[in-house]
Amino acid sequence: MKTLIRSVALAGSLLLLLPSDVMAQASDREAVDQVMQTFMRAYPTADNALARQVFRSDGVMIGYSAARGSGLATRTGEQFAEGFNGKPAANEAQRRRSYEIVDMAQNLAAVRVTLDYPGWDGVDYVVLLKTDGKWMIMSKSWTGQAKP
Amino acid sequence: MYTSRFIRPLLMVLLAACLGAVSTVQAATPQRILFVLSSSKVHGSSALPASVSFGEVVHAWDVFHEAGYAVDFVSPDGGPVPILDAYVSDEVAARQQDPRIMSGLRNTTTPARIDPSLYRAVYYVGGSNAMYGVAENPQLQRIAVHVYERNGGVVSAVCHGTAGIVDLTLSGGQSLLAGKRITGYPEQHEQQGAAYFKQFPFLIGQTVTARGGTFSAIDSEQPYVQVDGRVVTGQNYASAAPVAKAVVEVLRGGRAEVEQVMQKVMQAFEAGDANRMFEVLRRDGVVLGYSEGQRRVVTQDAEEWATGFTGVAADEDQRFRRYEILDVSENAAVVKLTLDYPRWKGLDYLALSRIDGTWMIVSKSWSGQVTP
Repeated sequence: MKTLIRSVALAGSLLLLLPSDVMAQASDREAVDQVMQTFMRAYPTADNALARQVFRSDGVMIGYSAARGSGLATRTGEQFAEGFNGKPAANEAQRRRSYEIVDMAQNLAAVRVTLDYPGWDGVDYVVLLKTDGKWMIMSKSWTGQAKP
Repeated sequence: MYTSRFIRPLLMVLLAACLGAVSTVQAATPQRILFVLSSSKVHGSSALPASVSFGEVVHAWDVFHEAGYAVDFVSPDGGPVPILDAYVSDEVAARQQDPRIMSGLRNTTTPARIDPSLYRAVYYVGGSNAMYGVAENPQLQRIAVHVYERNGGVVSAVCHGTAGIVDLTLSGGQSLLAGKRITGYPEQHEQQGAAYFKQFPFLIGQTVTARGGTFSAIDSEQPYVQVDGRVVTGQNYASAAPVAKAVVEVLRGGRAEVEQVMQKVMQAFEAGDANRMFEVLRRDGVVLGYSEGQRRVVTQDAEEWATGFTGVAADEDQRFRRYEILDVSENAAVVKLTLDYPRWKGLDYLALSRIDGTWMIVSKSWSGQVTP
């Protein structure tokens, strides 16, 4: 018992010795990860409440696909969230998504999202912004092409 | 006094506009590769004849030509470079009638007349004369380092051509070869008892190692190539075409192209040149960031954002920028750009897409604060 208490005390002391910015960075990464998990859940459920929870309404989604014309397509975060209409895609079960946090800064973070759908290969770069202690998606820049 | 204060910025704006116009023209011309050759007709101070390896020119030229690149030739002295019959193998002999190549070899350009901003890669040709007059030539060094650092291009060499790159030093003072895997014609394969060998000013493998590179070679005349980032080297004659193919692959790979985009971004910032920026930034792209004053994300289209580019900033010499390519996939990339200005500390994430084969910035998501 004494050993356990000593270990807990030692661990606590070591935690206190950790630089605060390292701890902040770890908790920021965790927060960004939470946002991305929520964002990923919005797709299979097509739940616009989840999308609104993590995507700023004044944010922007912009992207390019040759299949969709030569110009860039731009929508606000609000318009993007409206697209989640509660009806998951018919082939949702075959759609694969994964993400990786590629960079963390003080109040910005960059995440790569890879989309592997039956008819679509895509890479999105999502930028998250921290304001008032809260991380939310500010932009989503997408690129993709139709699969043969 | 007042006149010069007004005229100088005006001239700078005009200069920046001209540069923008020139680079727009350049973007429409074929991409170029610069072949670097030695002018030396003899081995060192002897009367022993030395030569360019004609096959190493032809085989690489064919690959670059096929890939759509234009090739130019430079040598320390300019004019014709020596090509001895002994250095023209049977399979390329007929190409001595090919005016596209022979015109270049008979009229090589002097280094002073080369504009390094035009080139995606330099290719150092081998041959016994490559040991002399190339490595130490400061103008050739300047060209190669410019291509590598400012253009995001490739430095390549084959056989004795590797001798030409041993003294390339990056702007940070580090040897280009430091930490790199390099090959070239190894001294172990030379006839070390022969008179010509005594003329060598240095040994390739030994010097590469002294510069911090890792030198390797195979005991064969088969092709052998080392690709380390944007440095491509080949061991021998048979490696000329494989080296050129590897260069093309590196140039076509996304990272080198993203690097080139970012070099233009940096130049556009330095010059305050919107036209140059639009060479790599989609006009229908977006720039967005959080406004503390308005407490919301403010979005501008790229055209609107670029109206702030009105020539070189008065405090440009105190503005520092650096970038890091965070991620590159087949058709998309993201780059982190850090801005440290006297009155602004900022961080941008630039998202790029490959659109119709060309990498362009589609969005710039920024965060920053005014500093007191």
